[in-house]
Amino acid sequence: MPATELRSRFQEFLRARSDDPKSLHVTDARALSGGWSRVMYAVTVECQGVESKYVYRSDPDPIDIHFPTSRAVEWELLTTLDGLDTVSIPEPLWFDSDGTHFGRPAIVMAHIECESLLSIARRSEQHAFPSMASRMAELLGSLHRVRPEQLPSRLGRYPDWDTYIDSRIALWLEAERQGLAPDPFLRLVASWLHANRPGPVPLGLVHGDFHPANVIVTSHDEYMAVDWELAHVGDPREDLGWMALAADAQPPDLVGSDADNFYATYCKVAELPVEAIDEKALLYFLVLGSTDCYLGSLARLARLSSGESRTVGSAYMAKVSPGMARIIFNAMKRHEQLSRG
Amino acid sequence: MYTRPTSGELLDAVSSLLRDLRDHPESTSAAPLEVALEVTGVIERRIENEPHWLVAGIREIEDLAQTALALHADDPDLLDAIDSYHQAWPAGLEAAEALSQYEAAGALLSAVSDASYRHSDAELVHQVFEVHTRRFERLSCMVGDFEAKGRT
Repeated sequence: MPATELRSRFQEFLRARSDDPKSLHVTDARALSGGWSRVMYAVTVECQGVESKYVYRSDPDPIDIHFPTSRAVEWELLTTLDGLDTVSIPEPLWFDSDGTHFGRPAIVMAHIECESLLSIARRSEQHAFPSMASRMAELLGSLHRVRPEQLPSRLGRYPDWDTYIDSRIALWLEAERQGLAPDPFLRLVASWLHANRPGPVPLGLVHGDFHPANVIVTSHDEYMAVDWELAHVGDPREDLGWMALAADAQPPDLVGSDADNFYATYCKVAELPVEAIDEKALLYFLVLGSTDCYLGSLARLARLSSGESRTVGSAYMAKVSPGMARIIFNAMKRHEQLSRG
Repeated sequence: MYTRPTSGELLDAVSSLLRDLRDHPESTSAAPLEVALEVTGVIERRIENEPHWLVAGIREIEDLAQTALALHADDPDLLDAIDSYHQAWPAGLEAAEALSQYEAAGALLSAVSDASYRHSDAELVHQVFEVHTRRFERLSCMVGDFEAKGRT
């Protein structure tokens, strides 16, 4: 949707919720870089001389969707977390569930003056990294304390840890069956994940894409987690593994600046035993934690190959997929080396 | 007399145009062009290297399959996979069909990989990893360094 159309629709949307609709005007709508997969705008509104800002979040055109996720499930999760008040997130305000107002399902959130932690880290000296990592550990630990029974059932329910892990492994095999050509790497990953599973920990909330670009630091120095579209019930160590992959693909590596302190802080807040997070477990969950993003990149490449998509974003997967695969494979090799002594 | 440009020449022309656009002072956002240039780089290296890489990849998998067969000749799934491959691709490689044969060899590698885990054969697993390592080395040459673009 063009910015001008969004401005007009947003104004109508807010006027319907205002006590003084005639004095309410949208004065600006700027696109935010919302990761690869969602359309986001910062919208500025003026009403009775007072300025306020909101964040609009919806799906892109179907052809540009990296992995299909549900705004309805995301909304349920955001309002649940907002109600629990134990995980810092921007306040969810409204949801256009059926696209009546915006043409497609859309979430409106409070706008927060902030900067991404990645952006801050990239212009900071290395000696500042351990304290950033420690704050990130507290935030991640707080969200991993959320138990499945506190979450909307649509985020997943599993009778036990093994059933959950099996369901993730099955996605790799399914991707191979649906792929354009035989992909022995997918089969290797599936067998490897099956053969090397570590000891279980209680299932809980997994963010699914937790890394410094999805942590915002507010103007009041509060750390908040954003971009919850891949959240699900799973093994919390998936987020630790995915962070390790992200640090390799999008440096700097904040956790690596003081890993011992990061994991000690994280385990204390998340109430997990330190021994559940040894190097082999982290490598295992780097691989398992990449399931949605890596397989999503392959699906997008397949759409490019079939001619269904012609966007630069899809073509870029020609670099993203092999880049991620190489990091995943290196983790598996390192794990094999540790196993072989 | 006009002649048809080769794929490489076409790619050169497109890359050059993208470079001009990216570096133009009025380009408000060069990021998508930078990404497009990276992608043309991948295609360029693929055109240049793929033919001999496919042949090398096929040979490695065929050798690995022979090793696996010697170790687990009583594994029916492995035997089936090797028989199917050899029926489809009897000795002698047609260069024009290298990509199809490479894909068939990929299925064979999957079968060997599955067998190595089915028999908990650590040494065969190790050899499967070695073949994948060489595949990734070639892929890395093609794709180049990777640093994720996106929100910072």
